[in-house]
Amino acid sequence: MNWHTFLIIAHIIGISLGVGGVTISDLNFFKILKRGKISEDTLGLLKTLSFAIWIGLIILVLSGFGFLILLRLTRPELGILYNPKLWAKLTITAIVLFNGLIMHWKVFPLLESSVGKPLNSPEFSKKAWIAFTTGAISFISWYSALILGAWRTDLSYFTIFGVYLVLVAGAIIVMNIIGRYLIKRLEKI
Amino acid sequence: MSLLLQNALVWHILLGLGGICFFVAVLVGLTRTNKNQKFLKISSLLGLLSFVGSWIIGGYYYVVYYGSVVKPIIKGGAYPWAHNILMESKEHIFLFLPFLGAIVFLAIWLGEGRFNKPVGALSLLIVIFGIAITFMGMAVSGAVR
Repeated sequence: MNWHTFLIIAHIIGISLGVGGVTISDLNFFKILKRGKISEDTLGLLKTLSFAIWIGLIILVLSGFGFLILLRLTRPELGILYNPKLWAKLTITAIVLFNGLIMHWKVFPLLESSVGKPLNSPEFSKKAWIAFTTGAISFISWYSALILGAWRTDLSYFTIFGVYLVLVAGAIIVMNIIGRYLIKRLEKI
Repeated sequence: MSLLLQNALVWHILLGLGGICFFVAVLVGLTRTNKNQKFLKISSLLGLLSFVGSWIIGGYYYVVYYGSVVKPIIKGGAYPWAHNILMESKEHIFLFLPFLGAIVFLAIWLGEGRFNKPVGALSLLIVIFGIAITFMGMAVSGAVR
């Protein structure tokens, strides 16, 4: 197996862990809201998924830079380092990283403090927007990274990033509306 | 570029990225309700060692190859600002990054959980600076045409 094949496999594993982890996490989070409470087991599952996403991110970053080094050393004429799509992917990856840190800093403590309690409590309702917002950013960012990795395009950095920001804004609004609706629904039950 | 210098460049990048990853691990570890001191100690130690390794190897590459071969190409090319602004900034940030790492390492190893907030703030600063100089390094490297 040559370096190129090894890096492709690693990159695919990284993106799979990230996209898979974030999809299952978000679906589970809405399931928790529908049920109205969070158990120790579900919180444990979310933490395991989060760990898998972090591992995916590390593999993705290391294999991605592996690609850049390989292309820079073997085919410098490609000028890959000034590719707008590459910079868009790097920016999105940095957003994934900082968004993940905010999730660990704000969302997990909120979920931990809500174990076994009804989720329509004022304490949870007040801070739930952070979970919806970071969840939306995470979801759109990972899928954007996946699409940008597979899509051969000559779009400029600002076009790619502009579309990404619109999608993120849309997802934040939709996630907050659905989340609020599910919390309100709990109050009626 | 000789094989030794190619390896130096590869390890400089990988160890730098590794250092950032370990300080991200420190940050994640600090957000936990029950903080695992062993995890924090190992992550900060590996982060510091990675930065020091990247520092020494990057320094060797800079002195032996970059200054005499790459720098004149960039300064004579279409993107002289890549060296004048980005590389100059990168050099200075990179100089004190291992020292910041050492402060985090010492605060975790000797503080036993007493300095979690400043350690978190400093680790975040290290991650932000680390990502910034990674991007700067890419822009500088891309300017060699």
